[in-house]
Order: sequence, then structure tokens, then C-alpha cells
Amino acid sequence: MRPQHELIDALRRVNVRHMLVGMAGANCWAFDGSQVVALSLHEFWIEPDPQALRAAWTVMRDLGYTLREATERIADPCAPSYAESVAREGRATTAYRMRDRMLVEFQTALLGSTFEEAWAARRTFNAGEIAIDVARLAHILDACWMRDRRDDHLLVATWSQGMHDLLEPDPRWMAFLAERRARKQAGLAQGS
Amino acid sequence: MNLENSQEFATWPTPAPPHGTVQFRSHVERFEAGAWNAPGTDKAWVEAIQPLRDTPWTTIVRDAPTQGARARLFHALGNARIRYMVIGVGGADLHARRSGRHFQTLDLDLFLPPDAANLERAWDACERAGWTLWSGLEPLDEPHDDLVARRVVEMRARTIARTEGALPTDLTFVMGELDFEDIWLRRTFTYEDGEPIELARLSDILAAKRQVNRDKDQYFLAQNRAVLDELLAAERPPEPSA
Repeated sequence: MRPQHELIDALRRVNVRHMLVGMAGANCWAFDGSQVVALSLHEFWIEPDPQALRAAWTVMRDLGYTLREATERIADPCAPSYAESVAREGRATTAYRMRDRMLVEFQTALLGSTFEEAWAARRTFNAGEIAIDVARLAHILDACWMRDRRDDHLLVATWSQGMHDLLEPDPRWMAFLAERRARKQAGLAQGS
Repeated sequence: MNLENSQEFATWPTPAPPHGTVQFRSHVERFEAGAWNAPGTDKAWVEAIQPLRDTPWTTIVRDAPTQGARARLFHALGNARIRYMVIGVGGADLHARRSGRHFQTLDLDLFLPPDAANLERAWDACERAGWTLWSGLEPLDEPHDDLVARRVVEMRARTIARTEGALPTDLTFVMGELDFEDIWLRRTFTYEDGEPIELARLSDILAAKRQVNRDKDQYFLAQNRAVLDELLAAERPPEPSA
């Protein structure tokens, strides 16, 4: 099982509501590889609830991850008020596992939408036997844009061009294909 | 419809709508509603295409899983004596690899001359290498005969070669406003897995990006300015000694 799938499976087992967001989430919506960004970070949006957050951290520690907020390690056990403050203030924490260099970020807030809105609109995909909850593409791209970082803007621009190229083919080309198919069908009908 | 009007060709593909516009929102909604994004769709392929992680703290990584398929493709193109050059960020990446650097590429662009016979042989080479041909969201119309090839060339339309586990490869006739024959004369080459690859000069690749000037091109140029300047300096002929 891939490390990210192991993690998703473990979060599901302890009933922590979570969605894949960021580049990893956008990748799940891709039509083909031209929209799949190579990444070393998996971003999850965890429900902003102290209990859920503590459960997620416990899962991560059991899987061998080290937890941090920015550069500071999160104490084990941590004070009950700590999870409350992270959830209340919408802060992010990271988890890193040395053996497979797996880096995970837990967001508790995303710009542009609330967790409940995003949760209601999420899409569930599969990866083999694992079900993956992914935030709407619209929510992911909006949040990237609002973060106002160059990397995020590049991702949104790349997605926009990719979608545009696929969804808006040259009308003259489409007319040619339609005409050719009609001719082929007419030929087949005549032949029969 | 006047297909011979070259001014019309230059208008396609059009630039993508910026974030926040009605058209952008409409694209996102249509994309979300696409059959490939139906609930429960298996997305294991997304992970399969992910490059290896060299280090955990960088997103610039190798596309190792695609190399077998790419090598087969370049081998077939070389064998069939196809005139093509790698351009775009994929081309810039091949230049950067010479000095141990990488640019992340999401596809590979092959620049072809407006020559239907060359295109037909290129399609044939792609298929012999195990790649399938697409036009946008649909497989390319069968048979891939001279009529389709000529029309694709006339319209400067883009065809895409796809294969399992590899990044898509675009066959394009457009490189900004640059002429194929000019670029061909200045081309260079490189090797990947022992296969020779025809490669446009980095200065031409970047000139085309500046001309096209889509949002994603602007971000790419801005984000990698220092590395690109260094690579460009290495491409220039040495200063004459005093």
C-alpha cells in the first residue's frame, strides 16, 4: 500500500473527516498526465475539531510520523488546549516520516470556503481498494489562488490552460471531424 | 470557412481565461462533471505517474517512470527519420539536465514542420512505440490517413500521443511565431536512455514562451529566471579572446 493510502485508510478507521486538497487534491481531478503535478507534499484538510485533530495526530504518530507546527515539534502528549487553539485559529501542522520521506500537511482551514461546505461538495474517488475524499476542484483552485504565492498561481494558470485546451477545441477541426464521420456513416449505409 | 487563411490559424489555441472569470468557473464546473471524474472513478494512475522523490523538500523531481515509454518513442521517431524538435518546458528540462538541474514538466511538446507526410509517419512511429493518438478529449479519428494529416496541418491542430504511465506528448506545429526551418537549422541534440533526441535551442524555446506569453509561461519564466539565465549563458558561443 502506498504511504498516502495507508494514511487515508488509518484516518478513515478512526472516523476523522478529511479531504485531500492542494496539488495532491488537484491531481485527482486530472484528465491525463498533463495536469498531474509532481509533488512531495500531501495536503489534507482535517475537520477543525480538537478531538478529530488529536485523533489524526495519534494516527500519524502510530504510523511513525514526527509532528511539527512550523519548525517546532508538537509535544507528546500535547496539552488539551493546544489542539483547541490550532483548530480555532485555523493553523496548519505537518507530519514527516524519514523512512519513506513522506511529508504531510494537515490544514484546519482553507481560504474561500468552510469545512462543512467543502465536505458536502467533496468527491470520493478510488485508488484500488482505498476510497479517497477529495475537495472540489473549484475549492482547491480558489484556495490556491487566494494564497497568493507564485507556486500556487502557476498551478492555477497551468490548470486553466489545460482545461481550456481540452474543453475548447478548434471549432473548424470539430466541424471537419463531424463532416468526415457523417460521410463515413453515409458510405457505410450505402454499402449495406 | 476559409481554411487557407493563415491569420485564422494563428488565433488557435486561444489563451486560457484567468482565475475569477465566468469562463474559468464554467471550465472548472465542466471539468468536474466530466466522465473521468465520476464518483468512484479509479485514480490509481495519478500515483503511478508521480515521479520519484529525490528529496522531500523539493518539488522538482525526476520523471523516471516515463523514461521507458519515452525512450521507445524517441527510438521510433529516430528510426522513421521524423523531423521534430523537443520544445516547451520539456525541452528546457532536457537542457537543464545537462547541468544536473530539472524543471518539472507536465507534458512533452514536439514541434513538427507543416508537412502532412512527416506527420503521418510520426503518427505511425508513435503507434509502433505503443502510444495512442488523441485529439483533445477523444481518440484521433481512424484511419489516420493522408486526408486527416493534411487537414491537421492546414489547421495547425495539435494531436496528443498518450500511453499508460507516461506524460502525454503533444505533436504541434506552433512555436510562438517562430518558423520551423529557422529553428531546425539552429537545433541541438541530446540523449536519453541512449536514444538521440532532436532539441530546439533554449534561447528559441524561451523566445517562443515570451511570444505566447500565457499566464503559465509568465510564471515559469519569472520563477526560474536565475537558472534560465545561467543556462542561456552556457549556450552562447565563447567570447573571442582579446
